[in-house]
Amino acid sequence: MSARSMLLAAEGLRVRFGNAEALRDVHLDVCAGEIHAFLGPNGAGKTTTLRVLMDLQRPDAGTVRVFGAPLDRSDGAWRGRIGWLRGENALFPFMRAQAVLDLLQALSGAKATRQRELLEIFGLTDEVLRRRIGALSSGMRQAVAIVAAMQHDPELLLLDEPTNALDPIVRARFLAHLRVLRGEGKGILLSSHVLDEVEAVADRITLIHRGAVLMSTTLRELAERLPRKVRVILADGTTREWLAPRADTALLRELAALEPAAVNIEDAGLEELFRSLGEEAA
Amino acid sequence: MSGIISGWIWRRSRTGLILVTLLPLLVGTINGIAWPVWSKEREVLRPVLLRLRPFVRTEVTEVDIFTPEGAFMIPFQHPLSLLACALAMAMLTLPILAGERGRGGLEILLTTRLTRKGLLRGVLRAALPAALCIGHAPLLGTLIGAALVGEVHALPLATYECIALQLAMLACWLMALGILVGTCANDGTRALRTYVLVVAVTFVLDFSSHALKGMDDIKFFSPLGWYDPGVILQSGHTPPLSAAVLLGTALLMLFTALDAADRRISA
Repeated sequence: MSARSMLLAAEGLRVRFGNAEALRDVHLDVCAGEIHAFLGPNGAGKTTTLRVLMDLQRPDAGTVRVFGAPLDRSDGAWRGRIGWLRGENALFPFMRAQAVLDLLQALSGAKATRQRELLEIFGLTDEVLRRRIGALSSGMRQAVAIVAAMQHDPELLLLDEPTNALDPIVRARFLAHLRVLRGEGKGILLSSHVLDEVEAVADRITLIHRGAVLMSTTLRELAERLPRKVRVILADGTTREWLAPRADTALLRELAALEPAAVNIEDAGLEELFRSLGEEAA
Repeated sequence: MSGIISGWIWRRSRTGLILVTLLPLLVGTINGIAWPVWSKEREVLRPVLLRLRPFVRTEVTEVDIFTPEGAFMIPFQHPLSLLACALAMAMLTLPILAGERGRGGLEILLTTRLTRKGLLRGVLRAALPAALCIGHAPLLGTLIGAALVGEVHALPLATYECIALQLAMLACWLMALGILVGTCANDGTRALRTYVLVVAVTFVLDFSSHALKGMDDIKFFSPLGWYDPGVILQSGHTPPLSAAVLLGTALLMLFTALDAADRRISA
């Protein structure tokens, strides 16, 4: 990936909260025209990382460069080129949805080039937009938050668990829209713990666990590194399962000793990979 | 950006602000309505008031409150008017700075082009006109009350305007306190607790300086000690030292808040 197309680069991020180390030497980058998935279980450090990237949390060590320049607290212009979705919905509950969108649009300093399109994707009608945020369902609140984050057509999107509370149909439409944005050259950092959606859209994946990056790779490379799920049906009808690396001769010997009636080998999903990496790290 | 934020703060606070502004208006109106009885029964009321002297602000007893100009000045230092100032300034500063920080709303604002300093400028732009308004609310109440009993002609309006401006300066001091506390606190509850504590201490210091013998000078440790409508009424102008102390300490708090906003580790 050329340096020219790099939208965001974080190096050596360290954050401590008291005695607890929330981030340990985290490296992360997002390039134009890619969806970079940032995966980890709850409490892994995803949200803290995203907050550091938006200068909402000052790191104890490390640097962040956005659009090629270091973070500048006194100038908000760079933030106007980013769409940021907070993990926990904190939109103003006493305001009408349309007023929230208008306020955040005005503060972004850009024209609402994509608001209508996004409202259609999420099925947010004028009637819904007239309601107060506090009176909306959690799914609708999340949809309004996503529209607010993306309506000013930002070059870089930092999305923290965006599909939380979205129904499957809207979720599918949203993921399809992310692919469209990728095609337009936008960079997207998608923080999630929903692995199937990541598999569906991500080009690159970074796994984080207990504040440290376990692995950062492309989806293709990851597929090659995925372990295999080996299911063996024995002569007596019982089934046994292993999660095995691609070439595990010890496992094969063990299998042969069992004299199985059938052996079923398939690629494990990210879920299994994540579990195995998490166990290794622990 | 700060203009957008100030407009937003005004919209979200307007109901509370209107209600709070009604307090000094109400005091002024009731004071005006009470004036005919007040002036007629002065011989009966004077000894009662003298007995209450330790419990009322010195300035009230420094001027003859049985004259129209003295009586119609009461709304400027009625506790409800001072409380209205404190409430209005708290309403415009604490919920947006500390309340939204605790709720997470501040993070949403600060991920737009809005900077931390821009946010403070927005709060300042919203609160400054409000300080002027709340400073003049007792004057409006006084005018309404005086008009009801036909005494407007007897009032020194230019002097009252000086008092209103000084009350606005006190409101600015409270605004700066709200901005400083709101910037430093991590959530609305803590900010409100600190603000109430500081305001309560200023009231207690001011009260103690009047109620306790030989403790007059401690009032100068409270901003209320530098708010002296009685002195303005007698001299006809705002003492420059009082204005300098109120505005100077307010500016100091604002610059401290700007620095604190820039140094904050989290939003």
